[in-house]
Amino acid sequence: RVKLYVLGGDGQWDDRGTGYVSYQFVQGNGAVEGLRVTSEADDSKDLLMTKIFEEDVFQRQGDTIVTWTNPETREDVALSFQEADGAKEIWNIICQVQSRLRKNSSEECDTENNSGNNSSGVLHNSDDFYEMSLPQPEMENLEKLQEIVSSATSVTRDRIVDGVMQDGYLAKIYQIFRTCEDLEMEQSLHTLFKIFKGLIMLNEPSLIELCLSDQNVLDTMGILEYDPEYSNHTVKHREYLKNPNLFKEAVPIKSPAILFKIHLNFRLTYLKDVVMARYIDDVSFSTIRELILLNNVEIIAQIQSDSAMLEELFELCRSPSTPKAEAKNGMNLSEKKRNGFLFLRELLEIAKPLQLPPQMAFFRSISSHGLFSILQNGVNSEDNTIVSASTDIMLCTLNHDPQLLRSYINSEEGDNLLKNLIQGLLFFQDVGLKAQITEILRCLFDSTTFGCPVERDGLLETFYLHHMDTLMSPFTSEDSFTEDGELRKECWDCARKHVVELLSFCIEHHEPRVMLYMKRHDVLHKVLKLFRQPNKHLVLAALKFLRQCVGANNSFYNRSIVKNDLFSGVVHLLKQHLYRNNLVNSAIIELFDHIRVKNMKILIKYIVEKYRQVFEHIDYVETFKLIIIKYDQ
Amino acid sequence: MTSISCSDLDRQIEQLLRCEYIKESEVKILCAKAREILVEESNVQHVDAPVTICGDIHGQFFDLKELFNVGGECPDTNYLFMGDFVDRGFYSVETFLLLLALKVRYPDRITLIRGNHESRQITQVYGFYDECLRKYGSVNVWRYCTEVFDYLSLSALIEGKTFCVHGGLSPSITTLDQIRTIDRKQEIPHDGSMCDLMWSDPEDIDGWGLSPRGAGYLFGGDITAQFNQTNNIELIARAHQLVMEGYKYMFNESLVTVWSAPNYCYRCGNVAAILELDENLNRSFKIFDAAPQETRGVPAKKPPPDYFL
Repeated sequence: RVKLYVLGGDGQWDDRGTGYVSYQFVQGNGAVEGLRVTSEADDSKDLLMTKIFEEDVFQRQGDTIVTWTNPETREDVALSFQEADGAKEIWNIICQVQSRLRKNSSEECDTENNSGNNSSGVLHNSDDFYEMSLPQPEMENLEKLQEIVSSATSVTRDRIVDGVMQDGYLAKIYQIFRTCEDLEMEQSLHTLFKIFKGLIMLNEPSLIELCLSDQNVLDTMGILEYDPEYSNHTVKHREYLKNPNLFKEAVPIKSPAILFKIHLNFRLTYLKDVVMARYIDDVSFSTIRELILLNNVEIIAQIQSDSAMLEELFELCRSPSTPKAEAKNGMNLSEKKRNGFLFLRELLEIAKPLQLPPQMAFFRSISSHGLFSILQNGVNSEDNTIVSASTDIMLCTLNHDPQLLRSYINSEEGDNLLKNLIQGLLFFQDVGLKAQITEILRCLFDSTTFGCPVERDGLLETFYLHHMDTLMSPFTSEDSFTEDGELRKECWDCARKHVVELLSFCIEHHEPRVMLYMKRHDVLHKVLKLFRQPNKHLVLAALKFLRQCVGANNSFYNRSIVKNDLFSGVVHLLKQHLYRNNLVNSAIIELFDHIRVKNMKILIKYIVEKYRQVFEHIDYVETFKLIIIKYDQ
Repeated sequence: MTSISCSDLDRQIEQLLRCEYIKESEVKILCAKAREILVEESNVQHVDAPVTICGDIHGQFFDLKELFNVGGECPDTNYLFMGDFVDRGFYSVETFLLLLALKVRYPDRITLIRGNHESRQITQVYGFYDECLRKYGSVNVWRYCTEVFDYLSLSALIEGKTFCVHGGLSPSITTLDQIRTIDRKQEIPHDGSMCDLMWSDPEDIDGWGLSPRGAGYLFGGDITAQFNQTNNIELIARAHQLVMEGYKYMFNESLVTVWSAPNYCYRCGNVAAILELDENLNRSFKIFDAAPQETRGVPAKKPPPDYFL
């Protein structure tokens, strides 16, 4: 028993009735094998007579559907079987006939012209058809609809999409859903879940958007709560999405279209990451991600061109906030201000994956509105969230184009930014923020991304002349933490670690400037005092710093090392950690190994002459023996 | 320095075992403590048998719990995890923090070595970074964790006989001593011996081959035999490659790949394995499937608690 569908001119599947399918052998001008569908209502009436075509036009979809395009009339036909067995039987017949035909045609190519003269093709009785695409959205058709959606192929996909997107179709389904939910019809709810899972995985952006529109989103999410694999209905998507505090509007967004896109993107993300997380495949994943990206392009373009809104946002971020700020709309000013920064951060975050031209336009636009002066104050804020957001935003702009922030720092207005950052690095309690600022400084002073030399020189000049002393202050002032306790000591140690890391970075990037500075301020000596610290992280940072100096292989560093016996601390450490096989030990061995491999004669001479006795007793790695051998040669 | 009590730790472990993440301030202390422990470990960390060797986990938290069901709870069983704790799965934060908390609580009972995904660069692409940002609202937790990554040991040696590493061998390393001379406290470099240990794969070739991964090398049975002979090793255990059967011997059982993420990425359909070595280094594999659906709750990347855009 089958249902017959033919694709109408309007792209809809027309239901041509229900009947019984049978295999036919038609004698004629050359025998033709075909299929016949006899009407269920009137068995004298044929709904379909078709030849089994030799061409590869037949497709099986799922267990119960066979479709084909008549190569002569270009008509699309589908048979939907009641029983999977029936579909299989007919399918086997089709395959057999086809293989027979193909064998024949390869044997007698010249008879080919004769085939097709027969009066096969699709025979239909036009007064018997009634208009219908997918099965009507009725309770009793859910199973059938689910079957069609779940077994969709590239051929049927577009037709299903068109059918579902017809006026009122989804609305009726949602109605059925509400009824099912009221009556706790678990089976049907599970079927609905499968239908929607299938619909989303058809990867049709317009359909996904429709399902998530303001009007439909709660019903869609409601249906998607009934995952048959969680029988007790434990997920509560609707409850989550209904939460009015979910969306925060830092400044009013006036365009309803953009507002919708913003909500839509959140729903899409939620759909991708939560609702469909377990089912989603690579194709659907990228469809949804693509959709989000496209929406973001529009959101960014709109906001960027909305000067008034940006002005309002930046005004908010600039506003002086005191803990006693007056209450405004039930939310005090400092909270509003914080939201302004967080909004800005999200804005930059979504601009990241954009293509270069729109991204550049966006960054230029917000810089010209005074982004950096806001950040300069943001870093100084008493609100940790604002500080953190400000550093995030700075890193964002640096990753996009370090020149933007650099030229701000070079300008008169931006004079305080570096100072603020370095103060933060030294004195913030939050070690995460310290790491973040270190990263900012690294990006800022990365020699591989410097543009014009004038700007570079200006920036480095400022840095080494006005800020390096502050940065070095943890090494120039004496520790005095006895009364301040553990926490401050920890914070200070962390600052020192980052400063040493930055110095190592400078050696890599700023020769000869950094060397001159170090020469003048005896930095090597000061930093290497860290070898005596109990804190291993500091010891390791100092070792890395020394390794960087040695790696630079320049005569100033080498001479200083020899002259001031700067390896004494290293050898002392080596003795301490001799058989410990820990990180300090590895770092030291690596340092000596480097000197050996690079054959740095001055250093080899110095260390062997001075520490031969120590080295001779170390036998658990070859390095030290080999250095002595090198020296003896 | 930083102190953390056993009862605090036990509470955190309990919390993490329920797949609830712990506070940012707790993560900070936990990571600091972990670094103190890891800084004392060797690049070739010595491990005593009996021990159970595990491969990639990739943030599949509930499958890690299943692993403990199958292999025994820590500290009753000694564990060695060969890296790739994070990325791809939905629970990298909980997975890594749980393993780290166990490490801090029972330093001698669990060994963690570094995989190629324990890297700042890779985690920014494959999910851990996003997950930290989503779950904590700032990148701090990611920074704490990635700092710990730099301290993780590169390999382990069980009773001097079984060499464990995430990826494989390196043309610039012939002896275990050479691994000791690596200054491992750094982001995984793009080439060189440290990179190779994390990235290489065994392959049925002679000698060395270029890796299609773009990092590390392919190494053949002859290389493996040579390395094992030089260093008096019986078996190389490594992870890094999905094997549908959970484990796979190569080169006359001189090397084994162990994979511990069942139904990898929630769709590969593979089983997972762990390798148990008893005190005499006798080997037995235990195979396990993905944790049953009902025990997982709803797997999901949690969305941010609120949004502006």
